Amino acid sequence: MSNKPLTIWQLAVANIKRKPLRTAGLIIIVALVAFVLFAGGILSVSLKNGLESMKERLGADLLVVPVGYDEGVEGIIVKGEPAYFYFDKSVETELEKVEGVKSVSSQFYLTSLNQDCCSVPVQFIGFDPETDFSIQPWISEVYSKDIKDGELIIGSDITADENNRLKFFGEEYTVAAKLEETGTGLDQAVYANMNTLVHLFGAAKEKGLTFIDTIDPESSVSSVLVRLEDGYDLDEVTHNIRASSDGLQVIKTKSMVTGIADDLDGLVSVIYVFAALFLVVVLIMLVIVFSVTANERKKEFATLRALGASGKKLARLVITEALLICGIGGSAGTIVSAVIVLSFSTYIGDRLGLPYLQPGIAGVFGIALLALAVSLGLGPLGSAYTAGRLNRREVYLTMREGE
Amino acid sequence: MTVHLEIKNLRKDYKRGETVFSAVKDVNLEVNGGDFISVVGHSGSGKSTLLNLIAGLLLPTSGEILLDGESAIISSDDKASRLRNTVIGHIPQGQSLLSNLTVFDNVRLPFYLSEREGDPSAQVHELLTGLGIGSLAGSYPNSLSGGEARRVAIARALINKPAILLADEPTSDLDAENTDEIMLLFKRIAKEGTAVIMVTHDQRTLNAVDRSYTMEDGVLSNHSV
Ligand SMILES: Nc1ncnc2c1ncn2[C@@H]1O[C@H](COP(=O)(O)OP(=O)(O)OP(=O)(O)O)[C@@H](O)[C@H]1O
Ligand SMILES: [Mg+2]
Repeated sequence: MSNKPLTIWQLAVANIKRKPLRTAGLIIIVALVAFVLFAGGILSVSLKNGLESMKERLGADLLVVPVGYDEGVEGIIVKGEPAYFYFDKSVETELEKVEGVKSVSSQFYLTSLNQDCCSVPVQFIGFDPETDFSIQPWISEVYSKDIKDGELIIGSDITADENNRLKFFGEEYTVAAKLEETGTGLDQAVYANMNTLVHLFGAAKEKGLTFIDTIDPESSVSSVLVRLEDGYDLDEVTHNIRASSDGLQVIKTKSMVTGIADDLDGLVSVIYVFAALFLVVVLIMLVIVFSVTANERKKEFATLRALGASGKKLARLVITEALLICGIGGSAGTIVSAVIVLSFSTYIGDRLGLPYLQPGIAGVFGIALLALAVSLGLGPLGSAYTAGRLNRREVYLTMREGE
Repeated sequence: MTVHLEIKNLRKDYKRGETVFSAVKDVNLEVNGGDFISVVGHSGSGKSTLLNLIAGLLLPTSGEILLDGESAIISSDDKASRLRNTVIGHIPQGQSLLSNLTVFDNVRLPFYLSEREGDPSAQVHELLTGLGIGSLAGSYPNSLSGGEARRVAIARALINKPAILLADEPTSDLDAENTDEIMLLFKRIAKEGTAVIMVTHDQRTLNAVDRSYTMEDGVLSNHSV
């Protein structure tokens, strides 16, 4: 027997403890709400982050690839699906002459088969340090020196060995730096200068990768990134490029992002609508459960009133009980959701096939607090009606038995 | 100083379907600290309604309830609740223990419903022992017999040393021996200055009281049965 003062809080704790089944049921339901809110929040923020970082990372206005390979290049950038395709290097000089083009830089793609380092095939992207404007700004954030021949820059999903080396096609390479996470397919790419790529290419050929037999790496590129002169229209320059030579596919990076943004908006709306509907249903349910329970507890409340509890105190009691239930349920749901969503984030990103960049600690914490606050808010909202009924001057709930 | 309770022309109307009837009709009553009175009447005659009006749980349709000359019990809910907690001890009709609390917590609960200093534990044990149920302090109400539960409710009504004790059928579950004990207890409480108002069916209690009233269809009369 405890001598601790019998506060409203203690009373509420005793009441919810002594009805374990009802309490557990309500806690589970509120936990589900918190789960959905946290998971939905993380999901939608991660998708938005992913899109933002992809926009920033591309850096080019137009991407020119061999005709028919628009999906290939999208696969590399968005989903991290390795691809390779080539056209003649002369395209770069051709494009430079097109009206409205400010600068061009070509890239050279190659894929590894499954290597020891990685659970997925790796996309090699070779760039020309002289002309590149898309990759080096990001490398400079993590590595200030020039990239030498034989050095690799790796995406955040790639892991080097303890000596900072990676082995491809039987040869070891030094990893100069690791890029920050983007949430896009580019996290699974390995970057190097053109000389290194040519070297890799030769090694791959030696290892019997026959698909590249006919390609001469010295005179081929996979894509050309194009930046526009100020004041020129995207469509206009696209048209100019198409007119200048055949066999080119021109991709507006903006529309690639827009396409994803449309998918993403749809997905995020579904998440929001589902979460909102769920919230409303649970709220209605709580209102009903609290009100029905209060009816069953008429005699209990009437007794409390007879002993000198004011209507306000009864209202506070039921709100406290509701807050306790929602607090426990909300914390449990948020924690379980955090454990699941955060530990499967890579898997979720892969399955969605969209850029997925999880927010940092502060962001995760903020979303957790929000999920907790909303589920906690269900307590007062769900019990407000009942609390209002209990806070009446006259105790209609009469003391007579059997009523 | 003992309490002075004065009830003047008290009426409480209820609606039953379309017709309005008075559950309590023009009741006049004066009770002083030290009085031990009983109200006897058929089921439905308005006895509980009268007690709930005195306790301020219900508001009268008309009439006055004056506690030491003031009508505080029919004022705001906060004021009335406070008064109920400090001045009135209420033994409600029937099983009225809070099933989620132990006997000990049930009895000390009223102590915590207003701002108070101190720890009532010793008093709780004293009351329970005095009522012969000291060993039940840690039990929950659903494990008690009807008589035991009733005595817990009595202990609970006495924890704040009320000036007025309202007892609604306090002996309904008790045998003759226990009834006599409770009557002795009420008598002693009254002697110490509390006004005891007891509603009962129980003829055995009538020779314990100072005055007995009859209630019939809401009308209170003071000729004995
Ligand atoms: N809230 C209410 N609304 C309508 N009628 C009510 C209400 N409360 C009580 N009554 C009626 O008022 C009358 C008096 O009820 P009350 O409970 O005071 O009787 P009682 O004398 O205490 O009866 P018992 O001995 O059975 O406890 C009864 O007819 C009852 O049905
Ligand atoms: Mg009654």
